Parts: sequence; structure tokens; C-alpha cells
Amino acid sequence: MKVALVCSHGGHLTETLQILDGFKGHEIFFITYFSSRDDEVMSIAPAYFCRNIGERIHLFLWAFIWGLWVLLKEKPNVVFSTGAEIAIPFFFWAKLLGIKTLFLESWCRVRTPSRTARLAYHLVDKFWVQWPQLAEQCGSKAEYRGAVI
Amino acid sequence: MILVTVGTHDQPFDRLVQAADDLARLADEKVFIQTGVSKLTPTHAGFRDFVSMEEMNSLIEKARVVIAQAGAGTIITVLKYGKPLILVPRLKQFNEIINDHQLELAEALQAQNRVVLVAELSGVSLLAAVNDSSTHRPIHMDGVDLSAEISKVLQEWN
Repeated sequence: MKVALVCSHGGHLTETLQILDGFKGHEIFFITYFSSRDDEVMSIAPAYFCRNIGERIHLFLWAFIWGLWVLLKEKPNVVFSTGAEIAIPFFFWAKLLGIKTLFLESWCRVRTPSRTARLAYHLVDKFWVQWPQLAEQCGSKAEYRGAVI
Repeated sequence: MILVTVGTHDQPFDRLVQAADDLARLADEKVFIQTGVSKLTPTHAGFRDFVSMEEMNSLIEKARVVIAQAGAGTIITVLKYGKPLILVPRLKQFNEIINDHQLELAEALQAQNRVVLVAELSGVSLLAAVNDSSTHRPIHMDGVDLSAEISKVLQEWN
């Protein structure tokens, strides 16, 4: 299968790289923000980069157009994301296009879900968190299936 | 060498940069600060704004102890190398981050006795934490189970 790995830079990217083994045997590509780690990302798999869309509302809205273009071009079977906000446009279109989706809440959320998680909850097929105590705070869909560390 | 890193976040973390520079004045050891978007110029410590992942990994490898923001990425990377870790969470009240989730994570890890959490930030408190940190055990790395779970789900969907 083809899997889109969608994440912002920094911790979300590091967490994604921690669990790459889970995608072994599948074709992967990244969708992430420009950062000092672009070369590292591209050395692992093909990648689409954009500016941090969390900075401005118009960038966030633009990401919906860009996201649709990327999904139609790449036609992934699965969209996986550890957040942050960049996950939302991709999960939105994935739901409409019938692409399977898995959201993994960041390891840094221990007791309260992120804003991205609260939105993503309604869009995704699978909603996983990395602390058992957080699963209790989210809805019945939330599952604890281990952590990246 | 004591490595201090504020990560790649796009808000400045001046409190940590300042305290780390004070630490450099007090400590007998070299201090290197990755300062991020801070406008402060350390006078006692060596510094760079951003470094590549490769450079960061080699800095962490060389460091005796690491002082860092409580960001998941930084923590994971540091603990991979089994280095003692001192966490200084970015706080919303100082405009260092948009919410206080770093504090939540740091407290959870402190409760597991896996890191040293510095709440009252200063050069002196950092020095105390550095002296204290060698007794803390690194987190056991375990991304394996989660990877296997992901692999299972992909198989279901295939």
C-alpha cells in the first residue's frame, strides 16, 4: 500500500521517524514543514514540504487546496499523522475520498488532547494516544496501543 | 560538555538561553546552547541558532548532560543516547509556546523519576540540576510495540 506520513516539523516528525518500522513493506512519502531537517526527510522517502500552516489562517486554508492536490496526485491508500494542524486538511479530504486514516496523538500529550486531536477525532478511522490516562479523556474511539518511546 | 537546546519551535525561549548562559559562567564545564529564534547573544557559552539533525545527534553524543525544552522530539532524541536529561518546559505565560503541554509531559516523566524537571529557572538551579542529574536513569526505548500495532492495522486495511 501507499502511505502518506503527514506531520509538522520538530517533535511530530521525530515521533514519526521513531515508528517507521511499522510501515515496512509499504510505499511511504512525507508531507511536512520546511525545516533544518529537510535533507534527512528526503533521504528516507519522497517528501512534500510547505510552510508552517499553523502560523496564519490563510495558510491553513491554502493547505486544503494544496492537500487535495497532493492526495489526488499521489493517491495514497492510507494517511497517517502524528499532528499537528497539518493533519486536518489531509484527514478532511481523506475522509471524503475514502482513504483510510490513522491519527496518533503526540507523545507529549499526557492528560489533555491537543486541538488537532479534538478535530481529528471526528475525521479518522483510528484514533490512538500514547498515554493510557489520555485515552480515558477522549471518546470511545480512542485507543492506547503503545508509545514511540 | 553541557548541551542546552531549545528545539526548532518558532517562538523564542529567552529564559532558558539566559539561564544557560548564566550556567556557563558558574560551571567548570563548557556549555553549548542551541538558541533557536532567540535574539539574545550568549557571552559565556558557545552557541548556534539552529543545527542539522546530524549535528544535533553528534552534539548529544558528546554531551555529558543535556538541558532541553520539554518537547517530545528533543526528549526522544536525547534519551536514545542514554544521556541524563534536565527538562525546562516552555510556558504559555512567558509566550514561549501556545499551551502548557510541555509542563504536563515533564511532570509525567519527573514522576517516573526519568528526568530532572527545573521549575524555578536560573543559572544556579540549572547547576544544581546538572549535579543532580547523573543519578537519573534514562528512559527505556520502546518504539517496537507501537510499530507492530501500526503494521497490523495496515495489514487489516490491505
